Amino acid sequence: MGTLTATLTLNDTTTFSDVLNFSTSKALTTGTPSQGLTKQTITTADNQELVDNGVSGVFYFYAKNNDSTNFVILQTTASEQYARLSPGEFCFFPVNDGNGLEARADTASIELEYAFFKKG
Amino acid sequence: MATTTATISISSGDLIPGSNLSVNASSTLMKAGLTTGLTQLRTGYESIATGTEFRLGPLATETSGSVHDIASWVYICNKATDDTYYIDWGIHETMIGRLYAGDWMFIPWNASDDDAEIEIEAQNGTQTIEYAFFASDLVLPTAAS
Repeated sequence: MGTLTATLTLNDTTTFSDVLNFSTSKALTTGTPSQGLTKQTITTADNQELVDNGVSGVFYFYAKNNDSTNFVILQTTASEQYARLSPGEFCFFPVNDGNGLEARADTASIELEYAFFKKG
Repeated sequence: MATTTATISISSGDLIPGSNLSVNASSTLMKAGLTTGLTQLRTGYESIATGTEFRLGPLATETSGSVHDIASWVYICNKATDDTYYIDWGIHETMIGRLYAGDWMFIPWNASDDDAEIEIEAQNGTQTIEYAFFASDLVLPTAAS
């Protein structure tokens, strides 16, 4: 359906005696369904499904926590927690076929910016 | 102060009808509490044989954070070039994602307990991964007496 170019850059000039300057990039072929960039309020009330585990395929998933105070938990649709996005932090990874992805705010509702794209 | 900055760029000219996609985000990798930067870094390559479960990073009990509830970040890239090769990755016995040849990922990881370790398994052939692990409070093993 389209091509997505994802690039990660890691840079550090202060922590170590040597400079860390690293970049990786990959052109990803994507298919359907895909969800373009959107914003969603994630509450503490329940687990909120972002990627449906009933839809087959591997999905490249991007998310950023736009809240300034509170973190959000990412987990499988079987409620297995695996990541915590603090305020302002982002992540990018492929979600496996059948796993799905849910989010749940911990302390108070947060605004999550996210998108996902099916691997083509 | 330790300041490791992670920046992501996601772009496409043909994915979204009527507009180009251009996402840019940046954040500093911080310890829990968001006031101090992460200072411990493990990087390298690992060759993982087909069908073997490989643990990347420490167990929770190999860290000294508050109840091991520390902030960490993990970067993994599958360096395979054969499109049929992939690695499955997950937390303990729960599969989370799949990295095909050339794919990469960058996620926060919370080492809440020894059953929250990162596991990787290669499929269809031995594969090399490139990794970077940003953490705090890693504890070196004591020398055998």
